Amino acid sequence: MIEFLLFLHVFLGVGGVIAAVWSFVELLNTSELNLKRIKIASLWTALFFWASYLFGGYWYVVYYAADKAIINAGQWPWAHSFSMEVKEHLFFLGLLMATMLPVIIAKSPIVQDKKIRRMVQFIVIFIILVGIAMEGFGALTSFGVRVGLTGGK
Amino acid sequence: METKPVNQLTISYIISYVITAIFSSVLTIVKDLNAPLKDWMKSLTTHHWITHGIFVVVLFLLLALLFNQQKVGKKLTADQLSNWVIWGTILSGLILVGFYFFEVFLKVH
Repeated sequence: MIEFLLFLHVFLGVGGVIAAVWSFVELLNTSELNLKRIKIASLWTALFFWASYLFGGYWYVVYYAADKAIINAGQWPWAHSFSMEVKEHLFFLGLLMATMLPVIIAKSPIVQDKKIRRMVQFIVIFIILVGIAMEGFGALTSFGVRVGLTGGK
Repeated sequence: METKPVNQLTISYIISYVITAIFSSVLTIVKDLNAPLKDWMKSLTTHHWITHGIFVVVLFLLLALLFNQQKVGKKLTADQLSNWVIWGTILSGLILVGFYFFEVFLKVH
């Protein structure tokens, strides 16, 4: 069950990235026909990011200490001191952008104004980049546990 | 295509995001270098990272509300706000990654 929580965190995070990519693709061809889909996609982006934060945050606060001890005793201590530390703090940027995204889309004339649409696209691009960074840093941290357990390098 | 003004709430959220993002990265460094601060943050919620998250989300929402009420940045254009997002995100990301890269890989302990 404990590891399933961690799986949920990753699964929901990937969901957030997929929803953000969906938002971006829809934004490339914005019209009245897909405006509703853009709003839905942006809302899913926010919901997935928050869900990933809550599940991951709970797992981190309650269970990560054991993994951290394994990482620090292994050959890849930087998997915690660099990878995990950056991940847990960089995430807030993505969370804030994902939170404001549906509000901005709801309030912005993205169909009528190209520059406003581009502004929103930049926000979505950075949400995607932060999401991908989370996956990468998370993988490195997990590998740090694996290296610690197997004695690998 | 005509240029429309950016909604004040949108302006407020973006400015709030940039300020909060930079605040978060700076707080990360300060709490890492200042054990009493980290301990105090831990004492508030049992874990410094939980407190950090609460600080960040609350600051973000409060600033957005304040800026919206005070109509801060009301003349900012979409292009200017795009630059705020781009450079604010890059700066706060570089502060964070740069600090930990230095601490872990470059600093002589």
